[in-house]
Amino acid sequence: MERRRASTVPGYAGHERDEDAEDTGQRTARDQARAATDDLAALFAPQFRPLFRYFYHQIGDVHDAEDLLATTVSKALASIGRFDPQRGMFAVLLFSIARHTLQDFRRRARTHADIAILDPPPRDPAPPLDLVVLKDEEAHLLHGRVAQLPPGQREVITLYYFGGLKGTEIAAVIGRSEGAVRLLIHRALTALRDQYRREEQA
Amino acid sequence: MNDREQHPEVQRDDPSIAAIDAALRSLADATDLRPTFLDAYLPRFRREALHARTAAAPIALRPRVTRRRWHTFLGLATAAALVLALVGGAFWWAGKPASVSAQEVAARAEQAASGGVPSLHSYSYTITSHFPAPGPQGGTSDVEYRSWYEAPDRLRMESYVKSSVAPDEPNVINIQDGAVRWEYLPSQRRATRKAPTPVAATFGNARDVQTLLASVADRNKDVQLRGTTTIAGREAYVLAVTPNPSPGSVFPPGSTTTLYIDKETYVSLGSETRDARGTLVGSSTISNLQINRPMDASRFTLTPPAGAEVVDDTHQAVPDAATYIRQLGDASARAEFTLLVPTNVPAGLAPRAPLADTGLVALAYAPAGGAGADYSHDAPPLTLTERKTMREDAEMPPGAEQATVPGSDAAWFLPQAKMPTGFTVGPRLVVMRGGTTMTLAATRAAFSKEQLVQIAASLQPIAKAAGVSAAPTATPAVAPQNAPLSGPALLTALRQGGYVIFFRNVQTNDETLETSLNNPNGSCSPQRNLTDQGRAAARAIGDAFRALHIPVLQVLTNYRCAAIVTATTAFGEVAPRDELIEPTDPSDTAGRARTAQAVRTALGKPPSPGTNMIVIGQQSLLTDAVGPDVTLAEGEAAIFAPDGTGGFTLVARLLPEQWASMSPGA
Repeated sequence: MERRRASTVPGYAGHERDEDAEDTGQRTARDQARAATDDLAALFAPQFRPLFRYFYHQIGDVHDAEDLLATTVSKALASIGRFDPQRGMFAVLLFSIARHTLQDFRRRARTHADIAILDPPPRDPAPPLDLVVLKDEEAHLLHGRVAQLPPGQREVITLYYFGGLKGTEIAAVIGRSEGAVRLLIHRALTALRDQYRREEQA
Repeated sequence: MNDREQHPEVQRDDPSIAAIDAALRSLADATDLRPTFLDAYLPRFRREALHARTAAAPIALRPRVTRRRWHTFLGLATAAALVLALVGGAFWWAGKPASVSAQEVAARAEQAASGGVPSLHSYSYTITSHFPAPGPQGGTSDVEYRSWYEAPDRLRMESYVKSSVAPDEPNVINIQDGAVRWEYLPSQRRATRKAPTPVAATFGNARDVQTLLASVADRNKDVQLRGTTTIAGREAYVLAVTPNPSPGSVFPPGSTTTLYIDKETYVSLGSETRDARGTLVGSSTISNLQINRPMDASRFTLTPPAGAEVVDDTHQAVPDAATYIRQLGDASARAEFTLLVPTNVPAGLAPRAPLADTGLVALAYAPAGGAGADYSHDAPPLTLTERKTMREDAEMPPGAEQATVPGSDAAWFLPQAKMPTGFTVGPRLVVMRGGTTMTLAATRAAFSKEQLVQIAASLQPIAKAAGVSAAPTATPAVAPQNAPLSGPALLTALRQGGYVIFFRNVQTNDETLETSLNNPNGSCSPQRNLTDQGRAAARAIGDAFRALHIPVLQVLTNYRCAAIVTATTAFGEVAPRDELIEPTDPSDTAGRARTAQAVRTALGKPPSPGTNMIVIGQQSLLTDAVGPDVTLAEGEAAIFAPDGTGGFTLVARLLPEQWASMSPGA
């Protein structure tokens, strides 16, 4: 923004001046501001997409998923100073926050969440043009089937496939053993397989 | 997902499970963030990340060093010793005079002024500027600026003219929050949304600090450190700077400027300039300073008050001709004097929206394609300020010289000059004419006296009638019915472009029996052709366009010979269009409707900025498109202003011989 500043030079105040917005000083300031956030961006940016996928396949609403992503990142940024990479993995911190954020969201919007869990999300008659989520029928059905899994299984499936976490990370996020996580994933996949078979037979 | 681990519990020997596993991976890959979300979210993330950096610095992203217990004890003991040493040192240092040199403070202040203060993530302050001597525009100048800034791209600035009748009401509020930029003028209740521009992260009067220090000849001699003081609760170095009185310098000869430089950040917290006799010529004082405090996000948003005029200036750097003409009409109706508008504007300049009040109208011309219709914060190369003539206007100030401007009652010229306060003003020409005094001001030396006189010689009055039309003193040849533009105003508008001009074919030979309406084989023999009189009229139209410097983008016609020959005779070019071909069967209503729609589309489409589009055809084309109200004579033009949404308005009609009469000298 062109700024008209108070001046140390007599006669300048109140008069328009050419202020080249691209002068060296401003570039330097912007570069420094950018550099100051680069390390955090490098840490967080790769997690935006997994977080969105995790939220979206948990609640089935694009805009809510985006809001939850932003909320999670804000919370994580607020506590980043306490994060010790020697003691934990960043993804675990982030998805632990994400999980709690999702729980809060569901408590606040119970009705909405229940509908999302119980029913495959209705197809948006006019989805945003740039939205590629669930673009084909098969993907849409699979999304619905995941939503109908028992909560524990749905949790590990979404963390594993959509959040991109490893078994050890999921175990840390949900506070279970790695063996329990493996068992939940196995059961979830088996349940999805059985559901497919039942539908084929029907 | 493709490169993630293969979970051992996924039984890939079971084809069904493997298929589900693959489907889930595929589903994950297909679930992606919307680019529009990322565009909106990433600036917010950067802001939050910056705050997190500030609040938690240093961020503990490095591995923690583990120590054994005795190491911990040793570390604690060492730390305690260091603390004691530091505390003792601090007491010793507090009693010691500052050992930093004036040159070092100057260098750091210069660096800070150039934006080199990465620790400044947010700040707010008030700067009060006081200038006891009259400024270039008369009167003392006491202005208060209140600023709020948050990295990387949030800014709010309010200015208060303390010497005005409403010293506590901001005269302008500028707000930018990422991609959203607003300017609100409370006195006019007008909120203008503007295209975002880079937000300056420099502090206060940083630019002036740079200018001042750059104008010092010898820093060892002309920069002196005169101790420390407290400004706005912060410790500051007192730096006295004597700039080199070189020609063109903005600092008064022999003046000294005292800068108050923050000891922690080296930003300037204020200044004071005194002339060689020690008389104060200007000062700026900072107060209410807060640095790196959380900002209320609502500071950076603007909701236009109920009833306020909201203007969208995000895409339109220059008002289109129709808009500008309407603005001129409004300004003329409001002004208590006769508004004068130049018809001879230097090439490359385009008008910005006029600022109009009862007693003052300001017209500005800036490079076409420049940023924003607004010019209240930029310095356009040429501004024309008009008001009612007062008796003392004819009194020339020192340094001014008489000027001869055709049509004016009196005129004088003031070359580029440095004012007593040290401020350099560009050349200006003051013209009095018919009760209106106009000041043509050029920034710096953008225009010579001769150029300004040329511009002033082309001034034409704008009548106070509804809409815009020429005053009785202007070219009287044109009096179109149902059309709001004429004379110099029309010429000005056409020169600025943005119109679609429909010409009915010039005179043709009615005796020819037409056997073909179109010209697929390049033969005109089966059609009516131009008479000699018609060709002369076409040539006259083309000559007038060239003489009047009316820009033409393209000349559209159908394939009828009369249209094509009219186009080539007048303009030397033609662009025939299939969609403008009339059906050969007059009873083909569907075909005529299609052609009429094509004509309406052509009339409603704004041409490229700064140009006009021409359509030449027969009357039936126009009648089908706009109805029988606009019935033209042969060679007559109907000038339409597209509204940008496919609609258009008839703004003028001109007979062939009337084009030449629009010339200011006609």
